[in-house]
Amino acid sequence: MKIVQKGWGWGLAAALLALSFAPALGQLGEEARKRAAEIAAEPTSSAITAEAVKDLESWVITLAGIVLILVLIAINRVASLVEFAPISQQKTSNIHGWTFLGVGLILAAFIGYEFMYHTKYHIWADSVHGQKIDSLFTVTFVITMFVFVATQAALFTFAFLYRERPGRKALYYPDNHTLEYVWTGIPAVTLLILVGGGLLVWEEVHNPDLGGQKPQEIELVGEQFQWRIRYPGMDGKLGKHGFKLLTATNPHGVDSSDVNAKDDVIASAKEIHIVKNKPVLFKVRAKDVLHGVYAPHFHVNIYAVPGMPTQFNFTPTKSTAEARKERENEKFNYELLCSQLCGSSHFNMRAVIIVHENEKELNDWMSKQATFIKNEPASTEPESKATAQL
Amino acid sequence: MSAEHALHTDVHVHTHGDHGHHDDHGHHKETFLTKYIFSQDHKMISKQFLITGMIMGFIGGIMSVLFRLQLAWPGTPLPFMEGLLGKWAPGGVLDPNFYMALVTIHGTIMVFFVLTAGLSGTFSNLLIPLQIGARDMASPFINMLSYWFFFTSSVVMVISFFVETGPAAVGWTIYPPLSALPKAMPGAGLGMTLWLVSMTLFIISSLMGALNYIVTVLNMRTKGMSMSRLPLTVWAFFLTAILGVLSFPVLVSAVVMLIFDRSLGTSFYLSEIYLQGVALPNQGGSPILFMHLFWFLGHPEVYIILMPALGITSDIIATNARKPIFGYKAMVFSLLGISFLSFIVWGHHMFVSGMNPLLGTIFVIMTLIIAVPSAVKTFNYLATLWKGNIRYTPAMLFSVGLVSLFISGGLTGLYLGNGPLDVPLHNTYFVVAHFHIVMGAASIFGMFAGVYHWFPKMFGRMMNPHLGYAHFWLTFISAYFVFFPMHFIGLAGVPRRYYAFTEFDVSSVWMDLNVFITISAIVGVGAQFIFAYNFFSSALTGKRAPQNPWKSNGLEWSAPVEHIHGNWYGEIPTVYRGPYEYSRPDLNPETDFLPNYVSDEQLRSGLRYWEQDYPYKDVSGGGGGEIHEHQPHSPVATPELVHRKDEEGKEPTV
Ligand code: HEM
Ligand SMILES: [Cu+2]
Ligand SMILES: [Cu+2]
Repeated sequence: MKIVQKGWGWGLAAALLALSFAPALGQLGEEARKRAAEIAAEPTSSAITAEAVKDLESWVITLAGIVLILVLIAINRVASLVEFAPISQQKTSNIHGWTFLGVGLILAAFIGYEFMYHTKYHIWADSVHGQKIDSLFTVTFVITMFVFVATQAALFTFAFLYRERPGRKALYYPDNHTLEYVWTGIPAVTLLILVGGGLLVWEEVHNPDLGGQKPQEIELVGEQFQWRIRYPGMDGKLGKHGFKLLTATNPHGVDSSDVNAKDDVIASAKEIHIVKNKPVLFKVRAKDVLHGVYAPHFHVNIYAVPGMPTQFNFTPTKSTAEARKERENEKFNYELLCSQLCGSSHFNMRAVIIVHENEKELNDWMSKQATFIKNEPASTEPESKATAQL
Repeated sequence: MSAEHALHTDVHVHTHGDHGHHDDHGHHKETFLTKYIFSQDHKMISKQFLITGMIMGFIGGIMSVLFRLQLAWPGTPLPFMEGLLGKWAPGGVLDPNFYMALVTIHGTIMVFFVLTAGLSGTFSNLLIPLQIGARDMASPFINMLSYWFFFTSSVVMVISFFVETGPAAVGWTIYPPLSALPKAMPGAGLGMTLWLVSMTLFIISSLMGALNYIVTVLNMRTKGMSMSRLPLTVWAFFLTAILGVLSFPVLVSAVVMLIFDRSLGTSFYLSEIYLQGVALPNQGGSPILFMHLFWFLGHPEVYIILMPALGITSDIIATNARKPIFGYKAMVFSLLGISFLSFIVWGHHMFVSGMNPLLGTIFVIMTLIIAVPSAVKTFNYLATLWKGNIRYTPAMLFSVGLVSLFISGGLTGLYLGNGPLDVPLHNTYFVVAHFHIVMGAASIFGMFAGVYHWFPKMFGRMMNPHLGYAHFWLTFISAYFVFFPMHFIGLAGVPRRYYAFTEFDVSSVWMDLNVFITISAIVGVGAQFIFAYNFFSSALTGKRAPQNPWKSNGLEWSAPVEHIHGNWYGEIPTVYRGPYEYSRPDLNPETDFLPNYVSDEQLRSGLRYWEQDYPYKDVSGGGGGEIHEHQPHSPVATPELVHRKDEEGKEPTV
């Protein structure tokens, strides 16, 4: 009893000590607020409301206080226990056996909570191949979840059940060949199933059955820090390009002497326009460093590699309008992100993918776009300049 | 230093009886420099690796808190940040370039400096000689060099924080062209050069260490220590060293070519680049080549990190469950299987790189095959715990924690290793969750387990178990709280290495969860200070360690508590069986362990000296149960000779 009192006495003293830090923390907060006000006053800075700062401040202070107090109490309590009340190893084992049970339940609850509330943003693909990936995902999920629950339950149960107790003896059980074969064989067979499924879907991803449709080609060029988007125009063919033709005004390096280039459309907004149920072929390049074309809602992900063109084929199954209705979110948009680190603004290479209901909608939009030749009347000049440079 | 003094006194007391005349040799001749700095003793070198690794670990951990603060409260001014980081956090808001620098150096430090050098370096050095019965490493001198190369490389890595353009910021995978073009971002400038220098030094260190471990294990085992009796720790260190020797040189070649591309104008990785308005002359190179070379090291590297942790926990779980490790042979074969397969799965990091899809199919198959030995290991762990009599020391808690994390993180590998499933998940937070759990947390747990378990062997003192318990529970829970939710962020399509979640609809929905993760991370990192306090205070003032504190079977516990050159007084003990004979029915109910250095004869003699809590050599003269009595003045084994040889500059060999 005395020990406990002593522990808590120290704890209390520590808490008081911690509280005496509060003014210091308050001072920090004061500074934060001042700084925020200063920054907000500057025209270039992003708007940070004093509210948010205050919010954060109280968070940090409370947290730091709590953590500090808890840690000090803990250290003092256990330190005093060691000195005054050595507990036997057996009692300790008993305590921690029970703790495994308790913590196991807490973690189970936590994981359950995560599955309830944080799967709501899980992406089920709106693309043909993506849905096949999702089926494989579901199979894998069922299998791994089963194994996860079974093995973790076994682990925590054993940790609890077989904790050291007076009179217990461990079972001498060094080997059992049958068991070894069983639990080598079962995972092997299960994995064989997953490999089989995986290879089939892998094939679908790379050689999708387009039902004889010709895919809509779109060129995506990654650069620090934006996506350049080019459509082939009415002829459906992208004009040739070369990296030596790249200039500030010819950001795709399009070769204007190529007839196919004349009606190419270079998007002015960061929007990719495609059509529901019509295959799309992303032709992907990078200008400077690696980038990654990542459209999570369609399970599209492919690197953009300088010097090596890549591509990705997919067919969207929902229009943007449908997706908005389904999600009851008028502002919803399919997004294109960069998935491969490319520099300081890697986190900010946004483009939007707009899926039209039908081809007519797309054509309406396309016909309003300026074609390449209009954008770039003197396009032969930079070409010679680029060559001259080398 | 008072603790050291106490230890010295101890040496006198213990050696007094039979080896009194040796006292005027030995430690008097050792200067501070040869004993603590340029030591060639494997036990001291192991402590050097550990403490350097721990310091780097704290640096890496604190970095993670800094960038986690940015993720939780993007753009919010935190005045202390500016105080701490100066121009890298103008107005208290972390600069995006510096965010990437923190992430990069955090990853590099954790993977290489903490979990490769800090883990393998520490425990291979400490345990290989002690567990196989050798006086030291095959080459103590190269062993010393290995540490000093590691130390230098750590210093260079830390120095890179003080250059104008900041440290490397291109991700720990340093993919070119970003890493090859100093103009592409500040973190690809001088900081990147220093990163490459540091890693080159690191690889030299790692190769020296690994070759030493391999040779020592193959050639210097004591009588009776056949390969089939090797503790699983030693198997793990041995195979880890082989992986290192075979894969690190490939990284060197990749790094050298990168250095050429950076400074000599070659085009190994560069082609058709137009950077900031200028078309570069490089033609014909391929960044994909770099990925192949990098991951040829990179994948074995994750097993270089993990296998020692698995070995360590196998040993600890058997000891504390008081049961033989279930399926010793299967455990060894799965380590062998993992080692072999780890060389042919690297392509699973490149499924969406534009690599030929056909190649992808092969990597899918290989990757899922490697899951089989991992599953076997898990089941064997569980079977070892089953019907045990589990004694919860802090080391045991961390070992059980490792099994849990190994399962959780291993299973998500089945998603990432299966090509098509990796397509939506590649480079998202799902990956961050996966590798932190299976490689980061699990291996760190193995490392902690090892430190708690073998601390008495390192310092001759015990750690405070209660602080150890607090450390474990806080770390275990926060590991799950920090990393488990990241799976869902990744499944919702948020890429990794993002400075802020604010720019996209898919990411901005996660702001509140990010706050939760960051708070958990702060608690988790905070808990490590309990460990640090415990470690250093116990090293200085901890309770004196008994001879065999955990009643373990391992050979290392037959060596005297105090550190001596050559590890054992007298002859090195002979080994009579494997190290996992716990709770043998024929010894029931008298004892539940039977050290591998106890002969059947001694066993029959009935004097179970190994159960005593005082140093075994004190039973000398007491008759049958004594280990070095056979040849007390064997010319090879006496400390005297070992020391004399040292003075002549030769290595004490067996
Ligand atoms: C204190 C606990 C830790 C926390 C809170 C933490 C947090 C993080 C986070 C959030 C990232 C991703 C940042 C981003 O993508 O923007 C990251 C990256 C990383 N972490 Fe940790 N981490 C911790 C410990 C570890 C450990 C023990 C390892 C050892 C393997 C590790 C290895 C890495 C690696 C390799 C990366 C990738 C770096 C890169 O993308 O270049 N971390 N960490
Ligand atoms: Cu990017
Ligand atoms: Cu890998």
